[in-house]
Amino acid sequence: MRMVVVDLGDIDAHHCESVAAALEQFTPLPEALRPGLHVFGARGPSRYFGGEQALSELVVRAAADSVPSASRIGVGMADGLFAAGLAARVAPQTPATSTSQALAVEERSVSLSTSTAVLVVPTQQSRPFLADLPLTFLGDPISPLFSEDTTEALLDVLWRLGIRTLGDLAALSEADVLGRFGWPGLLAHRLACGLDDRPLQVRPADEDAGAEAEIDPPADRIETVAFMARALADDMVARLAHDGLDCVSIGIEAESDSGHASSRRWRHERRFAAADVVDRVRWQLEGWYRSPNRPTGPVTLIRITPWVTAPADGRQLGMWGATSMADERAARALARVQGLWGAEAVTVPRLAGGRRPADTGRRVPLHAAANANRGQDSSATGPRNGRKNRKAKAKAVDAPWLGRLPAPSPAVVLAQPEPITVTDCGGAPVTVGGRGEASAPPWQMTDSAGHSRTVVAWAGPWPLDERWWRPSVRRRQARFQMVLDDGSAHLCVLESNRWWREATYD
Amino acid sequence: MEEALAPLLPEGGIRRGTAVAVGGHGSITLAVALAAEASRRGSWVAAVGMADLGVAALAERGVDLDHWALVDLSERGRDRNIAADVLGAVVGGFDLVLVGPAIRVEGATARGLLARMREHGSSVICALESASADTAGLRPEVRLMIEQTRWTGIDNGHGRLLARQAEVAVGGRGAASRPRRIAMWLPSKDGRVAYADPTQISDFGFGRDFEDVRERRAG
Repeated sequence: MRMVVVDLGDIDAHHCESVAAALEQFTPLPEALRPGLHVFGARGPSRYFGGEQALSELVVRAAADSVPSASRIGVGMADGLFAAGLAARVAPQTPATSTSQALAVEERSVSLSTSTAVLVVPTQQSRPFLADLPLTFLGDPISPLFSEDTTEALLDVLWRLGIRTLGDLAALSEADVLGRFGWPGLLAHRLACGLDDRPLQVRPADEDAGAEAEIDPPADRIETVAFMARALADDMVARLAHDGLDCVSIGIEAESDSGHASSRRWRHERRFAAADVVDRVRWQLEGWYRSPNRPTGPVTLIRITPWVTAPADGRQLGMWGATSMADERAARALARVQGLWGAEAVTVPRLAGGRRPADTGRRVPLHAAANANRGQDSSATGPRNGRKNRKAKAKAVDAPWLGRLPAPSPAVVLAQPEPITVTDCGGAPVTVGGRGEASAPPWQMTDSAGHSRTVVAWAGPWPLDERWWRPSVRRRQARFQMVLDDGSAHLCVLESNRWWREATYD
Repeated sequence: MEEALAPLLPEGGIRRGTAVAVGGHGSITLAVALAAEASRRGSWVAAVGMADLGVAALAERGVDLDHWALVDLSERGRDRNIAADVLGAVVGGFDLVLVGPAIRVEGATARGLLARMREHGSSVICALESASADTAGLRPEVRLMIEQTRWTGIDNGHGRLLARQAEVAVGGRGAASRPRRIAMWLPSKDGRVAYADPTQISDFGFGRDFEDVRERRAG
C-alpha cells in the first residue's frame, strides 16, 4: 500500500491539529502517529493531484505553511509505512526556493529557515531503498518495534553479529531469523525486506470505529446509560478485534439535556474489553454528577471513541509492568478513583536528586509512571533514549548531593511551606549574618495561626546556596532543625529574611 | 509485619479487615513503618489524603515505592460523601490503606466501609490529628498512641536530629484491651523503627512501667 509520511521533527502538540487540517485538503483521513509525524494513504490523492512527485511537493508546501516554526519538513512516499517514514527521514534536503521556481514569489511567507525534503521511492523499490540504511532505524518511532522493550537487546545482538544495515538483515533467511530471535526478529526481518503490512490506522477522532448512541428517553440514572454503553463498547471492541487491533486509549463523551457535556480520555495499560469500557463510563458519570459542572438534566447522548489502538499481539502488561491478580485489582481501584476525582488525584512516589526535602522526592502522575516503565516516556524520542534517561535519573538519585540533610528525613514535607516567625528571648526576629551564624538562639516559634511554642532544642544554621551561577533562579537559605516544647520537630528555613516551616519530622 | 514491630500489635500484625489508629507526634513515621513491610512483600498500599507525605522518609522506612500509590484529596476531600466513595474504591483494591488525619468517616458510611474492608480483607491505618482525636468511625481494633517523645542528637545550636525515643500506649478492643506501654525508637540512629529495650537504655527515663518485651517474646 502506497503511503505518504510527513515528518516535521519534534513539534509542539498544539501544532498537530494545524498539520492535520492542512493535510485534509489531500485526504479525508490524515492520521497522526505523534505530533510531527503524520501519515495517509497515497493512492487516491496522487492520481488527483497529478502524480506522486507532484503530490509530495504540494504536501510539503502545505505542511510548511501550517507550521512555520518547523526546522525541517520531510515528505516520503513508498510502499508501506516503515519505508515511507524512513524516506521522509533520509530525504535529501532541498532549499525552500528550489522546490518550485514558479511559485517563489507567493511563497515568500514560508520561513526561509525551514528546509524541505521530498523523496519518492518507486513502487516495488522499497527493499533496495532500505538496504543501505543503518540497522538502528528499526528503533525509529515509525517502526512497530519502537515501543517494544526487547528492541534494544535485539539490535545489540544483531550488531554484534556483524549486521550493520537493513540490507544485511534482509539477506538472512527468514526461517533462521525466526528460529533465533522469535517474533520480534521476524518482524524486524519483514520490515527490512520492505514488507510492512500494518494497516493504516484511522486518525484519532475517527467516528467510524467509534460509536455513539442517543438516549431516548433521556436517562437520569447511571445504570441506564451504562446499559447503552455496553452495546456500544461490545460493538467497538469487536470491530477493532476484526482489524487485529487492541484499543489502548478511548475517549468518552456524554451530553445532557441541560447542555452540559463531559469528555474524558481513559487509558488502559493492556487493552480495553467491553466490560472495562462500561466501567469507565460508569465511573466517569459518577465523577461528573459530583463535579461543579454536573448536569442539571438527564443524559441524552453517549459517545465512545477509540483514540489509540495498537496491533493485537496478545501481550498483557500490568499497570507497573507486572501482572498479578492483586495488581489488577489495585489498577481498577485507582482507575475508579481517577473517575471520581480526576486523573491527577493519583500519583506514585519516586525518589529524585536534590537538596531540599521537597526536591528529594517527587509525585509522578500514575499514567506517566506507567508509561516510563514501558519505555515510552514522552520526553524520550526512542526506547534507547528512554532507557538512557532513566539511567541518568537513577544516577542523580544516588549521587551525593552535598548540602542535603542526613537521615532521618522528615515524614511530612509541606507542599506549601508555612510562613512562621522565629524570635529570640528578647522578642527580636532571629536572623543569620553573612558569616552564617544565627543572630541569637531561637527562643520561640509562632505558626501562621498565631500559636507560639518554645524552642527547646535547635541545630543549624546550615547554609544552602543553590544555582548561584544563575541569579534569576538562585536560592539561598539557612536551615534550622527545631524541637518545640510539645515534642514536635520541624525543619525551618530562613530565606530573604523570612521564616518558613518546610517540613515536620512527624 | 516486621518482627521489630510485632510487639506493638496483640496478634503480631494487623488483622485483615480491621483498622488500626495511630496518634501523637511521630504517628506518620509509625504508620509508614507498619505499612512498609506489607509493601515489600508485594502488597499494595495506598495513602489517601496524605498530601504532605515525605517521599524520602518513605524510602528510609524501607517502603517499596513500586507498590505504593498516593491518592490526594484536595479541599473537596473534606466533603464526607466523596471521601467515603474514594475510600470505598481504594479499600476494594488495596491490601492496606493509610488514611490521613483530614479525612473523617462516620456513621452509616463508616459501617459500609467496614463491611467493604471485611469483604476484601483489606486493612486501614488511620493517622490521627492528635492523641485525643475521635476514632469511633472505623472502630479501630488497636489504638497506638504516641504519648511522649524525645529527640536525641540535637542540642542548643549543636548536633542534629538523630533518633527519637517514644512511648507508645497500646489499647483497643478484644485482645488489645489490656493497656500496655512500649518504648520505641521512632526511628533509631540506624534508621529503624523498632521497640527499644528499656533495660539497655540507661537514659530512657520514661518511668519503670514498661513491659520488658524480651521476656514476653521469650515466654
